[in-house]
Amino acid sequence: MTRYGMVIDLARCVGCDTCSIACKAEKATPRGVQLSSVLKYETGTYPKSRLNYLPMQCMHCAEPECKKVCPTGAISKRDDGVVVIDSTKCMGCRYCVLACPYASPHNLDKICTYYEGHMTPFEKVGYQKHTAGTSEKCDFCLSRIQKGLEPACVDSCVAKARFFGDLNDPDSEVSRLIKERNGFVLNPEMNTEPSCYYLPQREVK
Amino acid sequence: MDANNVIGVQKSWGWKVAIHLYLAGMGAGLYVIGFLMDVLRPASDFAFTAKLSVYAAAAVLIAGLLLIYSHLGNRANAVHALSLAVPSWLARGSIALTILLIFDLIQIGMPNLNSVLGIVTSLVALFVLVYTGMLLTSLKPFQFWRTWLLPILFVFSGMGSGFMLLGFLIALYGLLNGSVVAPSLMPVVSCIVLATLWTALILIFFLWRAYAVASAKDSFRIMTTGSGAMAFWLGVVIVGHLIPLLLGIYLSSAVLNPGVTLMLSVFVTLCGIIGGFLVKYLVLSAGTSAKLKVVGGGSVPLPESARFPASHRVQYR
Repeated sequence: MTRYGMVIDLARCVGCDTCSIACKAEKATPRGVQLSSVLKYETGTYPKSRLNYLPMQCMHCAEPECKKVCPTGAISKRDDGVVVIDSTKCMGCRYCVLACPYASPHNLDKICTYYEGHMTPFEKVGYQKHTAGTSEKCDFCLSRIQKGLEPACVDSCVAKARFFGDLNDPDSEVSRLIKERNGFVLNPEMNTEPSCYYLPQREVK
Repeated sequence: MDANNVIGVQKSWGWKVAIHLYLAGMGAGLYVIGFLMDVLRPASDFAFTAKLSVYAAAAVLIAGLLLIYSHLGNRANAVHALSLAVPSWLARGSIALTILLIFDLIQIGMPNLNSVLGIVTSLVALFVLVYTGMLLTSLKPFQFWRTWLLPILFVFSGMGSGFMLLGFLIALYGLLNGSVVAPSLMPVVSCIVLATLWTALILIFFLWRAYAVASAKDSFRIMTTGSGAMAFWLGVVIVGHLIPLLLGIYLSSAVLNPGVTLMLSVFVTLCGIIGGFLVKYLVLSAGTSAKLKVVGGGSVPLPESARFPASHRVQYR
């Protein structure tokens, strides 16, 4: 059975945030909501300090904590491994926001427009997909992958740092990269079995 | 702001959830107290006090449920939380609270609580007491809350809050009716002393454990030396525990004028109510989530999201 997953090459990521903007454009998320983002953090001390980039989105875990804590059953895991939130059942308790070790779900307290008192044509169409008061998160661009396309963040990455495919297929590009380049997951001690892997950065000399 | 020196704490659950947890625990505690009083009846007016407990429990539970309902972002879907099909502690607690309230309201009209329904309701109330702590303990990213000490702390805190409100109501009733000290007041004050002592001991162990666990130490610091320090030392330690403990012992042992007894009882119980709430509020607001661990890249604070404020702290390996 297919298990969709993503591999992000930290050695190639340049922190341009193209993936974040592509996600925002694809999902038409309101102001203040970022389903995919890139963390910037510093390691080392001057003169050997380094700026690092860590793209983050829902990890689509095999054992999702958000699903376990959801009181209404709004969060489910599809057969293809994608974890989705059903806004027709979500009551906006924010329990999933707390439960996720990766802070993936976002609660839309209210839908804020980019221009005060005015909605752009894009916002008028796009915001219809969102329900105020519910939680939302990355869904691997389900509508795109159902058409055979890749998620918007993968498709738009200028550094070719993102890969998407079937983790259960040992011959897929994602499986091969994880094996060859020692792919790792974030916080494995949480035992959530994320479907998003990272490839290590290059060593600083 | 220096991103390396600011600690991120959870912001998703605030004062509404804290008050809900407090009232849920207090309401459940009140019912258990009322049931035990009705069964044991160590003093002549305990039947009346048991009834007062049941009434107070209903009022407090209704307030707690209304508050958590108002916290929801999409209230129309709240009914889905009453489904037994999910393993969520929030769902379990919602169902238990609803059952407790319904059974409590039924028993307001009954002559006594010593019945099968009373026993079942007491068990549900005990479950609600445990739920208030398990709701937080079940969250993996928050090591501050991931300890069996938290549900135990909240159980004792809930029972203590129940005694506090009951004592307050009995003393206030006495003050308003010609300074008459009800026979049940002093036993309730004695129970307040015991509950306060036990809660204090468990709180000490809880904080000791938080200090000892590296990933919970941030929360310990927030509560004791950080932004929660004044509320903790003044509100929890002095007002919430020392005053009820010392004055409660004095009240139990000294022979005082009825008016003085009642006024001191009102003061002691009010202090206990404030302190009990602050324990839950501070434990909730001090929760800090585990940082992300990146192989070869150190530990990274979580992204700016619905949970965190603008800046985070980075740890290096």
